[in-house]
Amino acid sequence: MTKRQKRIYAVAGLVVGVGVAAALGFTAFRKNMMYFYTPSDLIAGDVPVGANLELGGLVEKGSLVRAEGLKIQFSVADCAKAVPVRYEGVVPDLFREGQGVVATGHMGDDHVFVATRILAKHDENYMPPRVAESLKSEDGKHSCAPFKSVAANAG
Amino acid sequence: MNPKYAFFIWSSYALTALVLLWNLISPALTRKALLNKISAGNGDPESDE
Amino acid sequence: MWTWFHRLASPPTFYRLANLLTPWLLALALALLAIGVYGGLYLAPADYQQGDAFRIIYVHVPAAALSLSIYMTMAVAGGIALIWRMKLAEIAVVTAAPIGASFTALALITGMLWGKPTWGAYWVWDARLTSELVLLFLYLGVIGLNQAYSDARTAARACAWLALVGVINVPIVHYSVQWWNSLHQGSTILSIDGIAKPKISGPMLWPLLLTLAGFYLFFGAALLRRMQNEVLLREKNARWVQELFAI
Repeated sequence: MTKRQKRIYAVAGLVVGVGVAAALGFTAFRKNMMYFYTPSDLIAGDVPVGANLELGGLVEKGSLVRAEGLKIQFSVADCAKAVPVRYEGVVPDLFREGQGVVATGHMGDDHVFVATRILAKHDENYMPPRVAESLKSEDGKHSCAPFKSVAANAG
Repeated sequence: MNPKYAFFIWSSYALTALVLLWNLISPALTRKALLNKISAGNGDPESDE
Repeated sequence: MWTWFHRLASPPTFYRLANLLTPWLLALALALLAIGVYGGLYLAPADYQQGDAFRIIYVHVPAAALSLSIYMTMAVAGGIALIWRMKLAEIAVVTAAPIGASFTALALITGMLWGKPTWGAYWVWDARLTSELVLLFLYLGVIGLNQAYSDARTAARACAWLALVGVINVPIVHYSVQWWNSLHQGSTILSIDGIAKPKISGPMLWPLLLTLAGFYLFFGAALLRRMQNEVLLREKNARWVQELFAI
């Protein structure tokens, strides 16, 4: 084996080795890298009990109720399940029914998620309002697909 | 343009201009210093400085 | 083919070729950027959800795309430098790092400025944002490592190894929004279903393609300029440099 061949093997070995190590590491810690849990995870009980956590999903159509002041209640849904959420405070401009959101908070005793912060999660589609209007009838303008169950994904 | 977003948009574009500018100026200054050094050492090719 | 390759790799040839190429690259880059920015700020319609805030896409996406591409360039040059001991590849590794770091920082900051008005937060620790921050630290690591050695060639080879180890982070950044739940949205342009059914409407897309092309050409010009400097520094006592600057 020439010196050059040895160096080729060293470089290739390093890249493959780091790649395998990373793949193993991420398979083992996949759950920890998820930014939020989904309603399905919460209902299945696949979440740390009583802990502060992120809940992600779409604001269910027709679920938004505004109480006095800045108090609101709504449901957050993934493709399968929905969880009621209670929140008091300012919401992002993009917050509306059908919009993706990530709520930080904890599950209350009454099975209502008590949120202390609401962030909007927009998707990767960009269009002028006129085009969006013509798509209104189409289902899945805001897809539930990005809200994948942590438990189902992490195995 | 919605004035609410103007700050965020213009800051983004201004910072982009700064980064582009830095990427032009920084190598230009390096080159200038280098050329001075090279022409200064022209008479003495053995010198390291 | 190999003689051509070796000719190109010789410092004097490279220096002269770069001198010829850089002004054209730079002029084209700035022209594309000017048209793209004008299109993005004034001609493109506002987004149905985000209004004008989406216009940050025209600087954020090219900066982020470059941050990954420059690292890939560094890793490929690093491999060539380590295997074939090619001087120009060594030079490319160390000179690409500061450019890459600047565009990574720009991607992070424009991302924060986009996140605040749309998401409602400057920063969250999701997989995309975190891995992009790791990318910035990798660039800073290469820059620091390069300065830690007194011998330029030893330094460049150490940087090449670090560039190769860190290249694993490039697919992680790119696929982070698919592999894990994240606040950051998925890819608009570089996605398989996006090619079949565009995720951004035409009047919004073309300025983005122009600024993307402009950023890439700009990187080409910036890299050539820095590589020329490094070539001059390393060869400052060589006859061709002396002749080039003889008064």
